[in-house]
Amino acid sequence: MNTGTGLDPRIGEMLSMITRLAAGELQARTETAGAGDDLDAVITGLNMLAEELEATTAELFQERAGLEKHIAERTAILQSVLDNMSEGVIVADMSGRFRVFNKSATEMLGMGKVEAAPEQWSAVYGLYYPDSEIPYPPDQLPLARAMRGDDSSGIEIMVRNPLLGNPALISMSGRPVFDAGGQLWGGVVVFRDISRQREYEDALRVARADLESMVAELEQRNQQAGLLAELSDSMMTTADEQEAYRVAAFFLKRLLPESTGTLFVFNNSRNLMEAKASWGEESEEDFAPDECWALRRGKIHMVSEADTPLGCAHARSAPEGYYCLPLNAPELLGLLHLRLPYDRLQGLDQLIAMIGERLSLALFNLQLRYRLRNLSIRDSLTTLFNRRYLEETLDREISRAKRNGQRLGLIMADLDRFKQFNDHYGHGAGDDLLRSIGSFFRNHLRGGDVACRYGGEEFLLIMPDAEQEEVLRRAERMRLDITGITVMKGKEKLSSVTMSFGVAMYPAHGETSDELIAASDKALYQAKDAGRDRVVLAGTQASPEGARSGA
Amino acid sequence: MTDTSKYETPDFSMMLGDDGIIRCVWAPGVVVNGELARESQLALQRLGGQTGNAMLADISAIKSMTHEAREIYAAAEGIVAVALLARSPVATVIGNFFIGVKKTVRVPTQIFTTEDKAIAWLKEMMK
Repeated sequence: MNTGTGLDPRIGEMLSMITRLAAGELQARTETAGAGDDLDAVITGLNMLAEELEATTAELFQERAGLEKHIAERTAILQSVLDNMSEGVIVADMSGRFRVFNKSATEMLGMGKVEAAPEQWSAVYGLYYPDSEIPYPPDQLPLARAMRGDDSSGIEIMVRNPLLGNPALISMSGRPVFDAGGQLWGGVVVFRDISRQREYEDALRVARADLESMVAELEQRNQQAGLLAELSDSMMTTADEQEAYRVAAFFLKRLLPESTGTLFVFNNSRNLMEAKASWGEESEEDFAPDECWALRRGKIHMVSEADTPLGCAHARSAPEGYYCLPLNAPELLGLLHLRLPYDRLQGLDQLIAMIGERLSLALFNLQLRYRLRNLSIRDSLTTLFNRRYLEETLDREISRAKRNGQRLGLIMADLDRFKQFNDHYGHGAGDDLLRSIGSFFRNHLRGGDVACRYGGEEFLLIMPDAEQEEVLRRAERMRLDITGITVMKGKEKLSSVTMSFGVAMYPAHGETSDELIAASDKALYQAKDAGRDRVVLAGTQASPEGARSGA
Repeated sequence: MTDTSKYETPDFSMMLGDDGIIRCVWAPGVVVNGELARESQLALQRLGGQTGNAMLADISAIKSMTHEAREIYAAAEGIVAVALLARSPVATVIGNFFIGVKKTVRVPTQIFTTEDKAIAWLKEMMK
């Protein structure tokens, strides 16, 4: 339609509409004139395009809103997952900008993400090598390595951030991150705090070491208990005291391999501590009980330093310490003197105490055993051996003499006129006389000789490995010396006594105990018959007068 | 008694011919909006109860067609083909816009300026 200006007004309306569309007013339209001409067709087309634009834009906005909502939801879920993870997670792009930094990462590092170049990360977050003051090289951090395309796993890093309080040990693993096109985009690290775990591991290690130590100690104690039990048993079954002391020394050396020492036994009659056995060194000297601190104080005494006024007078000077352990049950039995290097003295109190208990008990049993045995084999009045012991011993000594091709002398001795002595001075004096005779024989015999009270005032003396002349000489000596015995009754000196001796020799006068006893008895009878106070050798005639010896 | 082969409103008339072609003629100056589009679809269903029918739509006199109406027609199904008879520049623009912009049109659709050519194409499509 021409308005006379030469330009159809619909064109101006269309221009206006296009301007409004360009400004975002997508509802803008142009009315057709209803002419159905080409311009109306253009307007119609333009309107329809505008409609499509409006509809499509609305759809796009709607889709975008949907996508944004979807992304927001997914992001919220992802963030929730990240923030609820116990592991720290950090994602950085290639520029080193942190794109993910979850809550646990912030807690473990003591601070959240900061704008810092990768080469500053160690300094900013206080990252060090474990248990050291050496900063962790930034380019070796798992995240930096991941950003170069490298994997890393289980890298331990110490975080010393003042904001954290105590340093934390973390274990970190890193992986590179690639974009959809396969290009390296950045890196991700996942890490966890292993401080507590390390503490547990350390505690576990200590506990295990303690346990192993306890087991070793228990094994050692078990072994020691076994040795102690063996010590007691062995001492109980020894043949004599000397063997018992040697056994004790043997086990003490095994119980305390680094030790040397001496076992002392208390001699009550001499008030002396007598060295009975030692191990690892020469035996210490006998000493009086008051020379020992342990015996004076009545308890274990340890000397662990060289210059101490508390050293025992009996202990010789040596560059080592020692224990003195009284052995009581409950009266004093002995003392265990143990020497050890100074640095080995500590921690042995319990073992030493156990040794003391066992050894005391063993010594007590040993002494009791020998006391009982003495009671069974000795005559209580004279303390000489009794007839029972003589019979056991004589058979054994004859066998030994036969085995060794030796001779053996047997002397039967009898007090002369003992009945008159008893009747005159009384039985008490008679007993005193017999006690004196017991002492007399003990003092006139050699170490291996055996003196027995055979019955009443009759005695038998066994002299192993002795020639006839020696036996007769000793018998004669005793005959002469017996007259020197003095028995007092109050202030009264009683009359002296004499003794008759019958001597028999193995094998000349018999090869069995019965034969020898019979031979010596017969010789004694002859001595009595010949007038008493004389020595008669079996198989000879007693001199009727003067000569007192039948030899 | 209602004639089941014909449907008429002030805005359009629709009739099923013996040749199986449904002819729809839009009134002059009508703006085909969503409501009219839905009504015409309803009419089409009533007339073309069985499949195999085609449609000749004379849009030569309409003023315009809204976006909503185009969406409805683009999603329509049930007939073999649609021939748009556009004997004016405006109708041609509307027809081309419908075919060109709505690539999602499910039924084969073409624009014709003469009825004969349109009928011939429809019959070809109905074979």
